[in-house]
Amino acid sequence: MKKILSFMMLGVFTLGLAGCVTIDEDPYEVDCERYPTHPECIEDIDPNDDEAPGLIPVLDDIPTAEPIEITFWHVYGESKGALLDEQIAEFTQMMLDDYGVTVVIEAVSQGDYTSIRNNTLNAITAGITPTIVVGYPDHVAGYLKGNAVIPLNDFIMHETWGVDLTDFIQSYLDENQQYAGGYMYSFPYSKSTEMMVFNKDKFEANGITVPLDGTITWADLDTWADTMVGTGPNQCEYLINFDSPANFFINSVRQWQGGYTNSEGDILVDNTNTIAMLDYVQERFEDKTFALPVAWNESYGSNNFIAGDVCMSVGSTAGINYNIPSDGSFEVGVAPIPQYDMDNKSAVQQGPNIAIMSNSTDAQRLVSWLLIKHLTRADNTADWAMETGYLPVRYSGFESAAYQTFLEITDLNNSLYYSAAAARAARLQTEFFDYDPAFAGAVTSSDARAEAEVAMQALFGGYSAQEVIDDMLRQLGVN
Amino acid sequence: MELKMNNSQMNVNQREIQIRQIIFKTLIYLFLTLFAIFVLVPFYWMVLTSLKEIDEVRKSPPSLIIGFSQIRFWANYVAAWNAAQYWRYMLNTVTVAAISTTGTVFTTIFASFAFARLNFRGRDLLFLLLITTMMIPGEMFVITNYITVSRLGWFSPIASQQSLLDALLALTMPFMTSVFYIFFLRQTFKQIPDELYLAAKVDGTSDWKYLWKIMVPIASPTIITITILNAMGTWSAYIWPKLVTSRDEYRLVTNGLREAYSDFVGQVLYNQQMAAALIVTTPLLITFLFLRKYIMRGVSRSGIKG
Amino acid sequence: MLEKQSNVKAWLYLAPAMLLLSVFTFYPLFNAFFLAFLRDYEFLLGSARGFTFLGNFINVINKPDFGIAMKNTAVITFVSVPIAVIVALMISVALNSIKKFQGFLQTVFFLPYVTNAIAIGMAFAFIFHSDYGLLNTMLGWVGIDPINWINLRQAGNADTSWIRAMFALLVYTIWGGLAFKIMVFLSGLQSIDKQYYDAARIDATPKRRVFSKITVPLLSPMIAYITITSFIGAFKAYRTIIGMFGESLRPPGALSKDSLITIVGLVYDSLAHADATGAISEAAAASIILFLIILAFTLIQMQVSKRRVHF
Repeated sequence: MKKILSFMMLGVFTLGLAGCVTIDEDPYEVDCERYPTHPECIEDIDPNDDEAPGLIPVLDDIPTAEPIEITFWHVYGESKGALLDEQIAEFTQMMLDDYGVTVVIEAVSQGDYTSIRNNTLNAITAGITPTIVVGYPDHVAGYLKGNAVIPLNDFIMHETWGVDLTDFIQSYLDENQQYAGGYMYSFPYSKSTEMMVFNKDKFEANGITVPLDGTITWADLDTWADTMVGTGPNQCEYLINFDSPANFFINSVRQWQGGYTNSEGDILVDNTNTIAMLDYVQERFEDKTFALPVAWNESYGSNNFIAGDVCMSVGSTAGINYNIPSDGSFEVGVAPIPQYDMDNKSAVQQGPNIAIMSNSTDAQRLVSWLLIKHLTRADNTADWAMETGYLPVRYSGFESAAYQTFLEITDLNNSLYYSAAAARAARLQTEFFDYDPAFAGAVTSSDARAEAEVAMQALFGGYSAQEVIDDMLRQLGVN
Repeated sequence: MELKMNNSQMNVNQREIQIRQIIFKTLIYLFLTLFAIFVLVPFYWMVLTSLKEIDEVRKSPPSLIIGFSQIRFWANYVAAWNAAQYWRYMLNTVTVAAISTTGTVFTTIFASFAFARLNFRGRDLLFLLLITTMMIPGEMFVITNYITVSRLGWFSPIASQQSLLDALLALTMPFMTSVFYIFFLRQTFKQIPDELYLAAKVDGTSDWKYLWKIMVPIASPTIITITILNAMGTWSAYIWPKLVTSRDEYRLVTNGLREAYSDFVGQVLYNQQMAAALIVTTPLLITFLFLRKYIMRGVSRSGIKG
Repeated sequence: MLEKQSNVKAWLYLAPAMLLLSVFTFYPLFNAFFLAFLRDYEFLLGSARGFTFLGNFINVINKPDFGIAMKNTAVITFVSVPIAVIVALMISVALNSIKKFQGFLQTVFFLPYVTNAIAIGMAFAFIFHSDYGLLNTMLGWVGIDPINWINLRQAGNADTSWIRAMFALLVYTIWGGLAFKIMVFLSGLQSIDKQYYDAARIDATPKRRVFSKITVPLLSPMIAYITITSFIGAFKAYRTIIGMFGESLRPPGALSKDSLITIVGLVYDSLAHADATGAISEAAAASIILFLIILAFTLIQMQVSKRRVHF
């Protein structure tokens, strides 16, 4: 009995394993017949070419014979999910009215960014994937290793279905064109940046006017710290808090023209400018000009900003409302983030993009593309931005009537007052947006970010610039 | 005279024993109370946070008690309840917990009986093999099981390709048995003296009857404990349910709990999260309170032996 | 030997469990072993360049955090398990011996099971907070200066930050395991025949003797169960560290030398890079290294306890 069972089990194992893994002793080469759109199988795109590269067959008409089913994985909870569902419903209605095609879209939240990436990687391995996924560039770079996403250039350049890329913020396009070969394997979707809030009452009490036009420098911060930092009633323990140590690190590196990483996955932090920046920042940590939320053992500085422990705070535009005291105990001003060097301005742009998976029919791909186009349409991207605190992805979204009205809100009693102020600050930064170079593999761009955060916190804790850089290199496998 | 002496001496002794017993009892209660407080702090924290206003939650140092007038019971709990479709998730969780717990209890009883009582070739080796499966981190199983479940047709990311039945199979089948509980129940069965079994054999009782009439009743505290622990497992599961369900409607309470608050940037609504957590665990607490008396009933075997 | 062998009957009783375990436990287990010996396995493509005997294991051992992970795993296991088992046993026996408030206290000891993980994290952050934490407040009562447990490193005491964070983690780990252990011991105590205690009472046997001569021997299968499963669980520690310190696995401001990463942390780290060449094989290899350590330890433990435990 036992023998029979063990034989059966052995049979199951070998069968199962044989089905899972193919062993190929030959040098590793991409099977271009199976994966025609793999970066190694296609030539690099010429950015000046007006012709579509012709990698993906684009249908001229939407087939109407059968309903077209799209599975859309995203990360949004109840409130944002509801707005997304609304925009999707509008889209399916439009497809029915304009083209007579029934489109069924299942939009399912996968939780957070870690889960959507894990679930998608597993789905790729199992061979059945959703049609559209939301994700960061390093997620997409990973999916690309499994040949699971398609380049969107043929859709973008199509005469009927295409879009005008010049209407999109340049940094968003650059971010989505950094994949091998220069093709756009993803499209900008839900974007935010950082802004700075400050305690207007305390600054005014000290006779300081904080400019809102994006002209604040780190030198200004030093000057203000002399009056603002202290234990007096109109002073704070620290001058300025940076919610995201990783963004603080990366952004400062850019402003100092130091090195961080590149799209090839090289770790470039060990250079004099980066070290000089860290030394400079550490001095500001010590004299309490700069702070991180760990100063109060918090994840975000908003509580301490409200409590008056810190007079200024840099954080995501999507989180602006958490920095507003609910009892109105002081007025909050919103400005673009301070710059170290006005000739080398940089602000981080962050937030997920959207991609189409390759395991789909031509009809599904076309409808998916039209959905992406719909979600990023000027009015929709503006609505999404106003509702969520993200930013429109295209200039026409910024310029749309609804968004302009929103930007002009100056009535403090309007519930959108602070969102509008944050959006105004963000708008001033769009021209010098920078993105994290994305790379997948044994060390991903997310790992680099995580280490940048650890490095900044360790610097705050008193380790030297060289110590934190050495530790970062060690953890990222650079010797 | 001598007798009297003895008596008073006995009285002294008895009083001494009594005093000792009182001191002993006091020490026991003191010990239990100390650890009870130690164990209770986080739970108290959860209840307290769920009643606070968000500004109150943000305060540092946090307040350890809040005045009656500051209690925000209604607002937090209503907001928490409305943040996700908890009815749906609860119904799913109860269904999945009922199926997988019933399955686990039966497969566990049978397997534990074989390991504890029956004698077969390779028993100890097989048992060791079972224990070794606990030594591999569970996450290593997830990927392979995900592929297995997909190949069996129980899961597909495409919503129209997964029926409710498929989802139920994917959610329950991998959890219809557990080495952890087989080991647990086997140990309980091992506590039962061999003489009982031999006596039953002499009486001509079959193994099947012996298992259900004698072993299962004696081991009922353990079996109820397994039931609670297993149901609790379903209650807190979230990685697997999220992985193998193509629709929101198929997911379980912890998914709802986590996802309702996943897309907040800059701040966490701890008070509502704690309220939501309390709402979803209330059914479990009630179940526990109900089953607790069965765990503690204890079993006197005097009736069986005769 | 109780009776002659009954192979067929035994396998019939085992069949339902074994069938399910074959598919959902043994098969993935064997698969993990298989994956650990693949060279350059591409998880997303399901292809590999051939086989390697030790390649993936060497990669795991060469990871910068491997030594730290081994040290942390060993400390967590050998400190927390003995303490937790003894404390849980004492609580269970005490709980079993009382009448008043028994039900209430039992419910209290069950509560960690239904406490939300975030709440637990918040509560412990409060307990160990360096400025106003419960622990430092209590230490203040006996004249001990506040200690910086899990908060940001302060200048001058960097060298001991690992020890303090580990202490906090151990308390958290022991706390987290108590509910389960108490429930198991209690259910085991309930299965002990009351007659033994009645007999002891008639003989006026001292309590200590009742404990060591009746309770412990009769509970020995449960003690063996809890000890073995607790050691296995502690060797696999990871969730508790995430719960206490978040994804960075260390107190804020600490460098990697003070990381509290464990071997399962290495497994997770590899699994999180599923899209990288060979990462899944490395996760499998790390799991097998852990597996071999636990197996060796468990076999020794069983051998030692065989003499005393009715196993």
